[in-house]
Amino acid sequence: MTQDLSKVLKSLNQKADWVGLRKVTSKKKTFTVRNGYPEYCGTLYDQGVMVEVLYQGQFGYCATADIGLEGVRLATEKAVDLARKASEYRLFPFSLKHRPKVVGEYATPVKQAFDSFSDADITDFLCLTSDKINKHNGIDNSMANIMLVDNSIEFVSTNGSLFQTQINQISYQMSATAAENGSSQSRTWSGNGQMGLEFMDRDLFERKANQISEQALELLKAPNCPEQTMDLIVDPDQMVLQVHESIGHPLEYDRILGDERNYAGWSFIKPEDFGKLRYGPDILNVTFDPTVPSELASYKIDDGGSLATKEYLIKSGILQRGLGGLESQERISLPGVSNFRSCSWNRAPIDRMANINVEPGVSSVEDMISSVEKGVFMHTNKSWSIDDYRNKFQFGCEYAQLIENGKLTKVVKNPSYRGITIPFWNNLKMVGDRNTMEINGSFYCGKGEPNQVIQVGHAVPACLFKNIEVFGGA
Amino acid sequence: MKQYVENIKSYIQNIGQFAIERCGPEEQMGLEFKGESSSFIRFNRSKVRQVTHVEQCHLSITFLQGGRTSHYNLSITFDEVSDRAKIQSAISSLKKETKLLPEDPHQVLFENSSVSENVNQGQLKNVDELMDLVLKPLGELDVAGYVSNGPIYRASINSEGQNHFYYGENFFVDFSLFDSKQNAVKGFYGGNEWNQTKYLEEVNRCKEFLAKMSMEKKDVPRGKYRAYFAPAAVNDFVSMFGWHGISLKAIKHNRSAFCKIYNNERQLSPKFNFSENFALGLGPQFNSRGEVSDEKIELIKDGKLENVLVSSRSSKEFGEKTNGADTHESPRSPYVAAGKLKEEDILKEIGTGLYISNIHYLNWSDVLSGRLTGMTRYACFWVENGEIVGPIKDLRFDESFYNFFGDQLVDLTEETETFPNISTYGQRSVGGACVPGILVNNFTFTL
Repeated sequence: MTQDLSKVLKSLNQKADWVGLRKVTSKKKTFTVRNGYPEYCGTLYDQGVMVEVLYQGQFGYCATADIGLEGVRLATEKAVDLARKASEYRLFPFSLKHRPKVVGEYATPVKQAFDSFSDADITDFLCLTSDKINKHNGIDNSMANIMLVDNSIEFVSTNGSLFQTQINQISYQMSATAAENGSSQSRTWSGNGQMGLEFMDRDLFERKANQISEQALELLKAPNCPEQTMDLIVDPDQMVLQVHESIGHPLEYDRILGDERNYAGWSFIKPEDFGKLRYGPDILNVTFDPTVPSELASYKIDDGGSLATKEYLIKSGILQRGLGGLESQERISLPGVSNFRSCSWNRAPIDRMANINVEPGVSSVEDMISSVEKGVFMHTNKSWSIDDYRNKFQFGCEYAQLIENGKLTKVVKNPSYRGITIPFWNNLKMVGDRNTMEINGSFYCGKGEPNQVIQVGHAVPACLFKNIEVFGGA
Repeated sequence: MKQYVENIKSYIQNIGQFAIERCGPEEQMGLEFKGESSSFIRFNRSKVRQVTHVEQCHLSITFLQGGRTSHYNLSITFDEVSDRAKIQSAISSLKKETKLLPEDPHQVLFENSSVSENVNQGQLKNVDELMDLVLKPLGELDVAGYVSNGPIYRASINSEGQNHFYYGENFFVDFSLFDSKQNAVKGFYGGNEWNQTKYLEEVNRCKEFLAKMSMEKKDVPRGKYRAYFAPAAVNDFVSMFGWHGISLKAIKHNRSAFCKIYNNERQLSPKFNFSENFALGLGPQFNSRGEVSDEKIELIKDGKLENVLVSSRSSKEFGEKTNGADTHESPRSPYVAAGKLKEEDILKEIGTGLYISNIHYLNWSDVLSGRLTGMTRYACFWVENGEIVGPIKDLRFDESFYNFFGDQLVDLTEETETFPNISTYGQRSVGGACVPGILVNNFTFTL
């Protein structure tokens, strides 16, 4: 397929110092069932080319859905015009070393192809799941959803780059809402990753449907989480957000360099913090790892042509490296990672997270619980907020159990906690072992101007934090 | 640009007709076109970081067949041969897959609501001129932000003869001005005809405001304070009414912050009036299905709930009359009526408390009780005896709108501000809000 794109590239009579063509073809299917009935069944087929040129040290971009020679030729002319004018105001003199020649390919390992089930098969699967939830007395509303994304990225450039990335991503979610006397509680179960339809395990979905229904009903009768400073065990399905917001985003070089200051914000991290800042205790080890086959943001080459490798961001608690592609690395004069990514053909690449993982520790969940005299074990994110420098955060969870004298006791509703990033991570006391790890992530990480939403993965264990401010609902 | 609009309109009609003609006797089809020709200039430290032009148009086909519904969304290129082939393939796929789906009991058949055309041409500068006009005056100032510029259009056509077309040409410069101590002020200039004097006035307003932040920072401890929220902050509060908000579906599923007001357990201040107001002219009055709302829908009047947003699907499911809300039942043109607080009296009326210009990253912390959490951002000050004492370090808040739009609402400002929707996820948005500032008592700051 890249041969067609190469032919187009060769046919361009372009006036730039360098041209790259990134063609993206996306097919996304979304299925949603509510209370046993189909609510949405849809396909998105999106295709276009981003023309990227380098002219007098300035990159210019033009995106077009017209992938034929004439469409790409016009887009190239436009990109050159933009770069020519923008070079009068350029922020940094970029060069070909920011777009190295790279050749390669990557494909998600898939056991069961997306087209092995029809739309009707998938809708039926979700209807059965939804019905299972609604069978529980007191459940007022159920939802089940599956999204399948088939993304093909082809890249060719005038300095000989040629690579192709074929990514299959899946996302699923189910929810149960219990309601009574003006009060309601919801429980969800969700997951995502890179794989085929092998995730559609009917027994597992049935078990989870029963579990979330029972827990939603349990929460309806539960008291609010107490407002107190106590120990906190965070389950992986909340750790995902904790890592994403308070480690991933502040480490992005484009934030530290100020590109993002008008939108998502700046960062409390300064360039001089790398190699010195104690982010957490020795047991905290965080990596950028695009090599985990089933994790949402795995790939071999980023959109700037940089080869993706696993790197330590935090090692033994000390901040080592930030998240920035080749452009940011030179601007900030620090080593980075391969994370220059765009959400689709219609946006220019920027520094993104990809997979940010917490390396497993040595503690079991039982070890953590038994070590706590007074605490709470929180599961599943439902509310998240953090400031523009990534300091003061507040998270809400769906479900929690108190821990008293080393044992799990009563269920509490509306569990939430707040803190400040560096003191919080320095209160980390135990990191879960490999058995507590879950691979998850987010399909919807928003950033950039113009705005982009991209997929990021987080493989994380359960963790215990000491002396955290927790609270409940009104 | 007149020819450009005509070309877009005529192509959409042509390709739309091609799709509709493929509809069989027991089938219905609705088409939604969303397109733009946009230039984006992203800048940092008043220099260009990235510059991008995007030409795109997406067609969403909703296909109804024998009580079953499915959708297909595709990018179109304005190359007729290629687009017809893509549409033909999409419709073939819809016809093949839809009949195998389970029936959709809440399916709403398409009707011919009407035919309309709304074309708002502007006087846009080209992107080269914009780089000079925007960046040259900034000089050595530390400004980060971006410019968006170009036409944007929407169209809705269905198999029953409905046909709506909306076209607008607009631009905005959304920016933040920083000083050397990381203090910042948010600026915005937008419209459909560039006026350099107005742009420079906005830059100067930000410079003057930023100068006030050079005073020593005040560390405000957590607690409850009297606080003024400028219109930009109120706009962020009101935007939350579109998520677990004033939606019949969210209320009926017991997942809305408006359940309590819907069930007559709570009400808001008699000073609070909130409506969906398409007279603002910020976007089309028709929704993604081409259904047309009334120009104004009173949602909260004198603090009491008058209406919630009801889509045609919710209408079918829950038996309440639709008011043209879109599928997600979010306000598309929210309007909060002004109050009596004069601009020049704001500091005096705060007395001792907080002046909050902007807020950031809101989320429901306890949705059923209407509790929102978020952060202060940009130019926020501690005020004592009607005088600014100094800028504050960012604070986290956690408070219910049943309080700050309810019995803790002191007043709303006499002036309102208009905020076009500047979201560019996937593509540029239409719509926007118009809101005043608010002065409130006992607002809770938690961290």
